[in-house]
Amino acid sequence: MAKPMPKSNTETAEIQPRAPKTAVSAAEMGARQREISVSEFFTKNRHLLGFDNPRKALLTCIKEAVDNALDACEEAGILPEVVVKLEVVSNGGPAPAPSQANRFRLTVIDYGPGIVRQQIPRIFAKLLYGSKFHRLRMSRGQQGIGISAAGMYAQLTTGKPVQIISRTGARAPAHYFEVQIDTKKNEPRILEKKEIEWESHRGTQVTLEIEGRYQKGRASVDEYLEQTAIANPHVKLVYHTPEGETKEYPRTIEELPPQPREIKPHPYGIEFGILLRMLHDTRSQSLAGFLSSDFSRVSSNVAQDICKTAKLSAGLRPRNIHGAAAEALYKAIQATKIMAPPSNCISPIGEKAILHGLYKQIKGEFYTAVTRPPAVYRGNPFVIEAGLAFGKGPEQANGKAERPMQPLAEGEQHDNDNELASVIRYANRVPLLYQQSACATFKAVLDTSWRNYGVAQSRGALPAGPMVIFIHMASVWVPFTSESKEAIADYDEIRKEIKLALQECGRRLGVFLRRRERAKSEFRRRNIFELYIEEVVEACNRLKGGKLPKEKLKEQLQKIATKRTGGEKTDEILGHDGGGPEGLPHSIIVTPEGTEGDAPVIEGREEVLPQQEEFVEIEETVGTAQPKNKSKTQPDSGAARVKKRTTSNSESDHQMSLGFDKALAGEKRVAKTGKKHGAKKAKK
Amino acid sequence: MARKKQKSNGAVEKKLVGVADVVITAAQRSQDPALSIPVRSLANVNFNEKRGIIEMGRRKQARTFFNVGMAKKFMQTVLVADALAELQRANLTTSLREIYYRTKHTIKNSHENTFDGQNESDPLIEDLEVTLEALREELHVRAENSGTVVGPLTLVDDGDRVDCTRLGKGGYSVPSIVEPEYIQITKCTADFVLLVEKGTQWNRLSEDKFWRR
Repeated sequence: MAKPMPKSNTETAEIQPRAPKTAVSAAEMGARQREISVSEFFTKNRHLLGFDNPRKALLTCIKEAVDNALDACEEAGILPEVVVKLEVVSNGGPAPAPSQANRFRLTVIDYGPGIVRQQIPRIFAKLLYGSKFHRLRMSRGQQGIGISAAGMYAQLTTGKPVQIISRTGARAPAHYFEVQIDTKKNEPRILEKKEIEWESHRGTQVTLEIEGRYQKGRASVDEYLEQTAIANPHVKLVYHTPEGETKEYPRTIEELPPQPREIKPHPYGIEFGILLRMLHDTRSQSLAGFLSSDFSRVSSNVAQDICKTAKLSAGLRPRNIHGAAAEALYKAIQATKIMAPPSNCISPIGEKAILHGLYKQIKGEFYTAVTRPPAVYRGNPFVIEAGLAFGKGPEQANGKAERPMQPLAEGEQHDNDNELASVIRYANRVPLLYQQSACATFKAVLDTSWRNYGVAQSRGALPAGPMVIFIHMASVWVPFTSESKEAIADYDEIRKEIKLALQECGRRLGVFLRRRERAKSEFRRRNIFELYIEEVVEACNRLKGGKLPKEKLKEQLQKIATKRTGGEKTDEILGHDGGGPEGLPHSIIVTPEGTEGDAPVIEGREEVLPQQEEFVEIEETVGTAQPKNKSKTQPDSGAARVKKRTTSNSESDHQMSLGFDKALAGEKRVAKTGKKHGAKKAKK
Repeated sequence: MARKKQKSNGAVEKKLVGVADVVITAAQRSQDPALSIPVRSLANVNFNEKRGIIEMGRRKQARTFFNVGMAKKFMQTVLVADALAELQRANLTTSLREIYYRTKHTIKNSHENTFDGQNESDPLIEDLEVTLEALREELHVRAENSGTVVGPLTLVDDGDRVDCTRLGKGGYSVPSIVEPEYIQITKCTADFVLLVEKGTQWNRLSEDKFWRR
């Protein structure tokens, strides 16, 4: 020991002269070492919260404000109505065009419960402050970072404070606040506060002025609001775009989703450190009491079992359990069989609501939705919901903004063959717009073999076709891959549930597609007969010397044709046994004639429907569609053209009728027509 | 002769109208109209030793309308039957090709033709021949002449007396049907019949008046 020491000393001595003069001692370093406040950290690392570029920042700010508004309304039991207003702020001169502008003022108004005066500054100007972090309950927000981070971003880019107006009821006054965040201390700094007159009786209005970029298309503000409307059909959204347009997303369900309950943690999901903390913090006097009162799904029996397995006395004071004993307890908990956590802490959107949402926002022919039974990952219950909208609506909901439709020539069609399905993802009803490929939902879509359901899919790619896939994960704690909540972490349990939900949707889609295909081919078959019946009847009439009741014969033949291609009758019988249209539960089928299934009534929808691709539903093949279809395939003048042609042909025929190709036919005939000619030959 | 022809005309026309009757009765009974057509394949042929000829068997094939594969053919058959019946009434004879052109047209309200080529209509005429047991000539469809003859042969064709020694180098064109009802051989002094397959060779021999030697 003694020898090497000097050696190392000499070494360091040798090195030291080479080191720069700015080298500091440990004491000096110690003087610089100090606490970092959360707000300071996130000011530097704002990309972690989704403020990496101006475009995304704008979206994130709106998203946080809207999420908060919806959460508040739902928790207070008020049907949410949210107004989003985006305005361009000019830098002195005339206001630039929205696509050129880099400064925006965004205002989000909700008519929800409002916020009490004392809490306003902290909610909006203190990071990691909120009501949602400490409880296990499904909500959009989780950490208490969002809106205050948005305020911080505003402060950072424009220096403008967050303006808040809030009123908790008709009798209470409206409070106006201007707050900023003190990034060093992570504390709110109130710039102004006063009571003002406000036109609405209750609610909250948040105004932020930020640097941003407004751009339509993928992952835009417009897309976010649209997708929000899909997953939240109970919300009325009004969006004033920076161009001055007003988009309204009406409410299609006049009913709040059931209130999620708050639950205690499930023992399986707990980590060792948390267990230690809980042991320390509990109010229970005994270990068994602690287990049964602080965890969900632990009855006193189960608590006794755990104690026994851990070889600890049930009456032990929880505070006195440390070290090895705690570890034994932790292992015992994991080893004991405990019921899955209750699922009333989750409020899934529900199949009906998903259907309504999809139907409202996406144009298609077929809609379906599946809600899986609750499952558990790491002790957190979750529910997966999946929906599917399939069809060649003239414009796809989220493609609308990015590709302006070119006018089409007659008969021309959009090349839908190489179009891939799009996935819209939600976590606790909040649309996820970024990092699609990192998300468990996206991976599950890729994993599902869509080919089984009649949809093309290349290896490792999304299924092809005009299709929107909707996936929602509702959980008390959605495992995001980062604080900016962009992608759901890929837990096996979650992925498996998503896959199961997608497969169910796929099966229904498959049934729909197969039925449609069959109906089409039946229709084609019938068309053939229809076409020929006319000819046969005409010929028969001529044969009979024109004395035939043509219409009658035609009718009779058509009746037979209908009967012969009437395989769909059995389909109908089979199909209508189930709950939904054609036996598909929780589905909507859109046909040119109307919709089947539990579709909400949306005004103005009728105008859109007839433009859809002509597609013949099974029910209508029975005869109503034929005349329409025929008139479509050839408008007129068919008969006239035919006549001309035949006459000219028979004229030219006279010259050709002395033809040469008859010899062959004649010879053949000898062999074929047998007897007489055979006899003749024999004679020769 | 002429009278006889008239008589058979009526019978053939009746047979052709029978095709329409098949459709009408089937439609009334709401059944699939079907024509049964004798099969003309090698499998349906047998050799009658007693008569020393090959005869057609009895196997028949049903051609139905309400069958996607046969619907078009059925329609075409009816069309051809119609065209043939028209010929009967007008007492005209025509060629296979004209039958094809007569029956070919675009189906109303579609882009489809009743026939796309003569190879579709020719077998149908054959079908009707065997189904209705009528010869092609009875159906008033002209068949190709079956060769040419020169030499010491006298025959009566359609009331005309033809002496095959006085027909220059062109010779007598043998009609497709030579049954005694149509052609009667009155005199033949030939020692043998030389069958020449090639037209050129036949022309050379005829030029040389080979049959005189």
